[in-house]
Amino acid sequence: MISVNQKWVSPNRLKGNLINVLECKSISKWYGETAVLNNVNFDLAQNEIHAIVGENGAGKSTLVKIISGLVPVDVGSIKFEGHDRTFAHIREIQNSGVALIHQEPRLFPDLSVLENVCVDHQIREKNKRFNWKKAEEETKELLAELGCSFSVHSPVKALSVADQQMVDIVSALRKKLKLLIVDEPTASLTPSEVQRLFATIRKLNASGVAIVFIGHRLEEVLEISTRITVLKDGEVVAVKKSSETTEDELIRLMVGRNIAASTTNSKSASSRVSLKVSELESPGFVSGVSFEVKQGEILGIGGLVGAGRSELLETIFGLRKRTAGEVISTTHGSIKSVKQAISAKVALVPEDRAHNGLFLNRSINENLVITNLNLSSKGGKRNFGKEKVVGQELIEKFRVKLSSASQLVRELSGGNQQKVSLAKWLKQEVEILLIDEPSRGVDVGSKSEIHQILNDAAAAGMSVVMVSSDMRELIELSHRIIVMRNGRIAGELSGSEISEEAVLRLASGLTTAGRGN
Amino acid sequence: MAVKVNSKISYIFKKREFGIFLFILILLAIFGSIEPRFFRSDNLSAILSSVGILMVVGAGQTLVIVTRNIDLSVGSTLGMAAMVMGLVARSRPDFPIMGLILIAMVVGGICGLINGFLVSFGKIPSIIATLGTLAIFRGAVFLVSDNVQIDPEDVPKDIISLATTSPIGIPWLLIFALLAIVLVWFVSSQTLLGKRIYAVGSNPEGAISRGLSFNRITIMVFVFIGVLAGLGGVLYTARYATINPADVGRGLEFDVISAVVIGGTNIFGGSGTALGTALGCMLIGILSNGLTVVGVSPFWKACATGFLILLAVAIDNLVRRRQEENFLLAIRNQRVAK
Repeated sequence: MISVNQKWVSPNRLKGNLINVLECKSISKWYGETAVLNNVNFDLAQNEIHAIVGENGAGKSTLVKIISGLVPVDVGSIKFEGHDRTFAHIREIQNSGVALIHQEPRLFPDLSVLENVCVDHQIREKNKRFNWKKAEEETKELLAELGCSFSVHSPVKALSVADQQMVDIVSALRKKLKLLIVDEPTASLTPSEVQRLFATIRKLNASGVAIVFIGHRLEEVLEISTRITVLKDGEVVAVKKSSETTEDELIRLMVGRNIAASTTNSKSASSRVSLKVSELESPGFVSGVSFEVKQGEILGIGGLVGAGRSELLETIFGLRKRTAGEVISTTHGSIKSVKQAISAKVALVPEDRAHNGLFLNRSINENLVITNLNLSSKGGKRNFGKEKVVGQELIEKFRVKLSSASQLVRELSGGNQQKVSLAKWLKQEVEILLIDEPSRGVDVGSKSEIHQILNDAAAAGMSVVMVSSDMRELIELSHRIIVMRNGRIAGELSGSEISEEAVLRLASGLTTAGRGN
Repeated sequence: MAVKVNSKISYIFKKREFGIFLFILILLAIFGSIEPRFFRSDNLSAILSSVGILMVVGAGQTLVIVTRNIDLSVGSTLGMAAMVMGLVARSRPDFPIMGLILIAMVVGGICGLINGFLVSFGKIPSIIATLGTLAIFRGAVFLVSDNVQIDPEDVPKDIISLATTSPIGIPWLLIFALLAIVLVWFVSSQTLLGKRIYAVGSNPEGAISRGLSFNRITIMVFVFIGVLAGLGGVLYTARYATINPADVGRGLEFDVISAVVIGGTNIFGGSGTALGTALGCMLIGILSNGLTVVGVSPFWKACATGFLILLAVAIDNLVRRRQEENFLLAIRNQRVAK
């Protein structure tokens, strides 16, 4: 079996000289003022499956995007097989045998499997036509070897995600593959699909392809990898041999040691339930989710990226089609559409402010009053004087830093944009606030102000459902935390049960702590 | 499972092209029964000539739309190519016909190159870039011709005979049209380049992360449609024997884009076939001629064509949505089975 693979491996890889295939030295990367990676060293030996673990936003994906040339590095150097590749063009990096496979396969849905595999084939001999027959045979051979049974002629959009990943891998294999990077490949796979993928990865590794594996499920990471690098807030906190570490140790490393430092929200909520969600179902994202939120309560929703948290909020709000289940506001009745949600005084502040929450090219004032036009207009005609007053009130209340209320929203910092986004909803008497990643991409100062706003709103009787990947935020703000995994509720934590470790355990499916479902 | 879905898709696609074909037959029957003159050979050859010009340009437009772009300037490009060719023919009556055809294609290619650069390196959305060049190229036609038309006696007989004479039973004009369609079919289904063109339209980000040269492919398809529009200019001259700066190719973009969209090319890129475009061109040509022949007013004619485009896109959306739902269902069943 392995021998078939060897023709895809360059000859010098088989001699067994154990130099590092990849050496990254002091890699740093900033997005705006935020350092995503800070002085990261990463190396990869031959015949190694090197895993990278870390919480959401620890910089894992950025690191591999830099390695594969998709994102330029700010500081540092990258050596591949001894050659400097720090500023190499993506095509150069790919042609030297590096392939990156994302969670969402980078494929062409309209093309067939065969066409997807061959599309970037380089014809080296001049005047030689591409030999489709030969390519088809080779592709079939590779697919069969990986245990795939689908036809090479089926369009890629007709395949499952797992099969699409296989196509992605085969595309990489057709070139002389030396380094394969898989970025959270198992998030949407079934257990048997995961096993097939792992078998493939091991087979490739045995035939001389170095592997970088990014994973959230620590059990899987320990199973597949030989070495593990732990990232936290863009820095390497540890490099461990997989055989010498445990899931518990990894979680401790990912979370950091100052677990005790975070305090949970001890203020009590009232006992009146304001929102009831029962057996909510949205195919592919949310299944069988039930929970209640009390008045004045902040309910945190934790979980990994792709667990269905944002989709849950969208389904509750009526943005996403639901196939079963009910959402009931105890004061306004059943909610089935966005219109009903808004009239039931439910508001959604989405994660992607730039696209969903704000009109970037309009003024601050217009953004603020757009959802409050009934306060400042009469008979469909806007009252600009009144708009100004309403806007000014909000700006002061939310401490938005600006030069003038007619400034465009796109000119504001991330934190202030988020405040505008919040303010425009909170002016109306919102009873239930659904908020997705309240402080993503926000500076520390604005972050604590946003937290204060949310706490005040809850204290004033608002119910808040908050999705957050920021563990600290989740733990400090929430009265109660629901952890999602694969579209389901993996468990619920409240009071003293709440800890970063407990959330992480539930999110990665480790144990069912607390009250499971 | 995947194989099953696959056969279903090709079934739908076949059904779509078959559907256009059926619609063409119905139109022929209706027009023929209302006005028997519709089937007279001179009318049929008039239809074929206009269909031929549409096909040549439509073949290029198919690939442009497949890459998520659009070329609105085709009418002006065709006009520019025809006019420059006509001017050369008028000043040098003994210029060889092959040379004239080459000149038209080169002029068209240059127009396409300009569009390609604006869209790729200039990063101007193609709908804006080609809207601009639509006006610029038209203006250039007036400038180079001094607003004087090329009269029939100045057009070489050899050019005019392209629309009438025939080596194998069908006029040269149609042979060119079929060659253009076959060329697009060949490139899109048989070559790696074709697959790259479709890949860029199917998933632009994916194309970049697979190292495909985005700009090169964009420029290539625009030059291609430019060259074909240049050839279209030759065929236009062959058919009408007059090159009027205001009329030559005016409004062609509407018919061409309609034909391509009716033929099933996805306006959001990634899919579309040469056969579909060929059928779409026939449909537009027959509809436009038939409505005139049976005496429908030109105003209603415009409405009818517009209505047809909307209908085609609406049906397309329906089919696509049904398809996607079927995929999801199939994949789900597949998972449940496991």
